[in-house]
Amino acid sequence: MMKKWQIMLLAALTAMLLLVAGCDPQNEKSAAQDGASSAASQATSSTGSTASADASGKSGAKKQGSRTITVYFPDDNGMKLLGEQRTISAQTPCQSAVEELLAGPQQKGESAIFPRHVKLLSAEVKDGVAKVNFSRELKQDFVGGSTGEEMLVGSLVNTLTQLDGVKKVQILVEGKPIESLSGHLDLSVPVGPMKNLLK
Amino acid sequence: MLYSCMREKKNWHYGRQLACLLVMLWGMFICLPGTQADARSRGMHELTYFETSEVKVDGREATRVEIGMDRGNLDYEVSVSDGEPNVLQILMQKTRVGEVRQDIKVHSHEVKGVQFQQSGRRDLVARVLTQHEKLTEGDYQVQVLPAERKTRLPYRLAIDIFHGQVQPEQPQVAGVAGHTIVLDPGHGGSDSGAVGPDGITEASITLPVARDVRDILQASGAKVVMTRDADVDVYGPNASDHDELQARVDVGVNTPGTDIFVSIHCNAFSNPAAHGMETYYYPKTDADYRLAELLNEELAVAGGRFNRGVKEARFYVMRHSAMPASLVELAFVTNPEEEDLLASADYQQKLAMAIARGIARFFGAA
Repeated sequence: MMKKWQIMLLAALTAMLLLVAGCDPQNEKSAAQDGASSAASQATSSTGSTASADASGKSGAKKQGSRTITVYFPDDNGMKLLGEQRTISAQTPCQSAVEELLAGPQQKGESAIFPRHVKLLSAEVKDGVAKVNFSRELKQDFVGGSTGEEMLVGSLVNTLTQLDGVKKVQILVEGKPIESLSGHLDLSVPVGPMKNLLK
Repeated sequence: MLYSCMREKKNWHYGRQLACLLVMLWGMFICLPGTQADARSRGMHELTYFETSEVKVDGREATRVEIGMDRGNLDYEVSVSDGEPNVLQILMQKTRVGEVRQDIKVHSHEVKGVQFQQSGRRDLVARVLTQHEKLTEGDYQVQVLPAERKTRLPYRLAIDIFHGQVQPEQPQVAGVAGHTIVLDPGHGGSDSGAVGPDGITEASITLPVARDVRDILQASGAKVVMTRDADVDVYGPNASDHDELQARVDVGVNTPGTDIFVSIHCNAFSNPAAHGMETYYYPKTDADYRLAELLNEELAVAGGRFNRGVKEARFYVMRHSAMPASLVELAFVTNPEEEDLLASADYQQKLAMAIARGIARFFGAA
């Protein structure tokens, strides 16, 4: 009970912090670069979450500048998205949330849909659109399929649109907006929440 | 064999000097119908042997009647008369029966006997009495086979009577006549689409399925246009996703009177356990959902796989086509079991028939 109350307080504090800091592009970019290298070093790790997330997760809500969100992963049959609670950095929520997605699921019955070696290059929010820039492996190593696309894009969009100020998501690869992932979804315009994929 | 002996005797009396040369040349000479024809250019064909056998032609069982000729370039006509629908008649011009018997009883699967009858002064009619009640065009095949040096077989006429009924006719569906349908076999060319664990590519499945659908719909009176009818990119190799997908949409735009657009795909997922069939729509007209729903119902019945449902999605080809459109995901090429199914021609034909039925129901209900 006590802990829950604390989390709520922290969430409120985080929200206030966000109002001040926003999703500062500069801030996010540098953080993303750190995140990319940390994700790369952890590519083989089975825990699948970044070091910072682990640390903040263990210390719970006590650590300042973190918040808890639902990170979505597809079920094993690619039918729906299931949520996992993850603690992310309040300073760089977009970058931090995407890192959680790339790290993959921890619960049984969920599957990783992002290609294993893809890296987050940057994440910034502008006019309600989170622009998420991935390395080329996102398209190059992608499994394909309508279901694959729906699940990857859906997990990203539904996770990020929980963040303050994020209404839509645009995916970039190596700095360029992509038109589709593997020839199904029209990604030429930013994508809003895909609620039909939630359980 | 008989044929070779005859030729040798005829050549022998030319004299000893020639004999040596002839023996050397004989092997070649004997097999050149043209040379023989020159030697007896005004002569008649003569039958040299008669034989029946059971053979397989293009995967179909058949009884073959082989009639050896002493020279090439036979002109012949094949016919079945209304009065005797079980008899295949082959009129052989400038032919004599020679040393083959005129009435031959045959104990074979499809042929009861063969009769040779002189027709006028120059022609011979071979009457092939078959077990078929009524011969139709797909029941037989007549061809001349060239002389074969290795097996010493002469130029000959081969008549194949296929076993049993003809292959099922091109299936059809009712209610599509006069409608125009654009079929879009997903991926192709520089984009193989998803790839299964055994290396089966999505593009190699979507094309034959789309072709089967086209054949059914065309036989049923519909106009069908394919975005691609070979393993190619529609826009061009390695084009941007937008250009490639828009090129497919443009086929619908540029085909006057296009009623619907159906894109055929195989699904993929990171977990090989993912399985099943699903159909997609984008709700831009009143009929988009209906099309996806009918395709889903038919594919579920015919394919027998787990039905993942009718789903809404922002897929490019559905959003940007003005007419009702659906994208069907037949099954998962990334699932080992479904990959095998998708690669089988039988299963492809089944799914094609289901898509054609779904389309027919769409027009029936509209």
